[in-house]
Amino acid sequence: MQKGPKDRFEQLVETADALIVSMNLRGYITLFNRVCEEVTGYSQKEVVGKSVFSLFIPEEDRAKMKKWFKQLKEGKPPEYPPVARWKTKTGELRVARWRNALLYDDERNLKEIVGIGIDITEHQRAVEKLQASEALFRLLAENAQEAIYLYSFVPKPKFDYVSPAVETMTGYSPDEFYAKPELVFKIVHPKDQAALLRSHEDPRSVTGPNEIRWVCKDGKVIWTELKSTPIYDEDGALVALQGVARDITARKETEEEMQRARNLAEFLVDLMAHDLNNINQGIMSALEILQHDPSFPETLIERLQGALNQVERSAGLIDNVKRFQRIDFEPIQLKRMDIFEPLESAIQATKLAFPEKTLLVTTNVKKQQHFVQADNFLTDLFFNMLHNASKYDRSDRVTIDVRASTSPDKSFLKIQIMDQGPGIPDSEKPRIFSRLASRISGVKGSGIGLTLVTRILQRYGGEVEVANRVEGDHTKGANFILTLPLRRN
Amino acid sequence: MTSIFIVDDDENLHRAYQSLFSMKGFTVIANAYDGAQAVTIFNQLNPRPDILIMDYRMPIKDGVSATREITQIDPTSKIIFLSADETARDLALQAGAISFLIKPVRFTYLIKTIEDILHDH
Repeated sequence: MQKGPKDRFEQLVETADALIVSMNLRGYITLFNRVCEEVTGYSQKEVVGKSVFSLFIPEEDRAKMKKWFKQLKEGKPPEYPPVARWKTKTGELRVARWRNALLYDDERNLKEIVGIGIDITEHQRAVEKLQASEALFRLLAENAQEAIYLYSFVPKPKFDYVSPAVETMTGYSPDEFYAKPELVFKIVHPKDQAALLRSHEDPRSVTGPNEIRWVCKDGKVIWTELKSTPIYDEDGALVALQGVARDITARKETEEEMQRARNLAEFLVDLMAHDLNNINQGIMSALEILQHDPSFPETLIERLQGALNQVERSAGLIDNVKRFQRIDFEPIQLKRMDIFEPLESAIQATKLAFPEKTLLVTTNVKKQQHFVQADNFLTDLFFNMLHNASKYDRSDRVTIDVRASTSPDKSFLKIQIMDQGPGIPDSEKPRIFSRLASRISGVKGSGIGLTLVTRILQRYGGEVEVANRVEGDHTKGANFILTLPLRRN
Repeated sequence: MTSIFIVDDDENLHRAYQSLFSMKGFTVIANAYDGAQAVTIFNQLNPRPDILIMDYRMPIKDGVSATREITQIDPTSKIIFLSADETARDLALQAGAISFLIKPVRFTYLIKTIEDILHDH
């Protein structure tokens, strides 16, 4: 049987990929297609004969939608854009864009209003999200202390965006950059022109932040750190650069100040180490001439020896100051080290430093027994401890015992350096590692050795403390306890 | 008798070494006050000194450059560096010095070093 126009209309309504709803002139639903069913969750059976306004239109939109419906019926152009919100069966609000068709009867009287719509809810949500994201970006960009920029190369070089911070930084406003994109190359510091050009022509060659100087409107020079991301088209051609410029002038000034201080320290230490030790050599040689001169009075030999010791002490102090400087400036690169060799070297060096004394060092440290994370300052650490013990022990025979043991959880190595010198009173113990507190039991020392010890231990993540060798009696000697992070096999 | 050539820009040290070496029975056969002078004098010395005592920082030519030239002239030269600048140690040894001592050095230690070198070579 051949289908009539009504059948064909219904078939079209059912197969169309659009929302189709038909209402009579009172707004009661007469037709509700499959797509409407899918979107709203209602079946045609549930909605036919019901008011489209009370069923689907949210209460707050109802008045304006009724007005719009009335205008349609009267043949007037509707005042509202044909976008309407409607409620699904679950209460979810969806948005659709509508076109309307008016159906007339044979007497040309308006009979029905057909709405044909497209659900644009997802699109609408994406637009809202994008708008929110853009608003957030703008809020951040406009208030950021960093200058944010988007620079396009095609069709011709120009700034698409420059945030207001650029004016605080350079004195030039975003509008000036928009009007004259070449301004960026005019205000770059002459020494950084090549670097800026390279970052524009071949951004791939710039790895990491680019430090660039600019000459501001008032003539002041500032440092910035540029972090640019190149944007390429599908053919791989560079089309834009987006990025952030951060003012790092304060940091660069601090770095330069530190470098100046470092250079000055290096100069002073070099001057002291070289020139003073040359002077020390002169004094030492002159004293040794007297020492070997048969006519030199026997009664003054002891004083002469004292003077020679003082020269050696002066050289030792200079040596420690040089080490101080190295500790501060040398990068920390620790490696696994056996403590045996550095300890042995330090014992031999201490014996050489006190030729007039007999130095007896006993130890339980064996080769390949204890490993720590350290560097070449480890020998200096042991030497300073042993030297200190030998210096303050006024007897000709100096006895030192070095005991190493691991902590119960095997994470630290404890090294005890026990001497039989005058010891350290409890009241003095907290102060002895400070450079300024150097007077112990009436013996005046430079105090730098123990401070150096503390600094070396800080490099290794270790600590030092002092106790009595014999509990409760400081006069029987000191026990310096070093703790070092332990590295086991 | 051991012969010594002293190269140092400090005149006081020349005088002091002279006295000390003579006490020990060594002979100072030449003195130079900079590296260039050291090379010139060394070229003229015949016989060559047993030992050269060399400073590092000196005017006109430093001790490392002078050592390089002297060891080219005579590869058997025995040069002991005596310097307050320990950063020059590696350079000096690479240039051909046999030993590097850091000032101030006790004379007895210097003598022992010289004797060891003469004994070993």
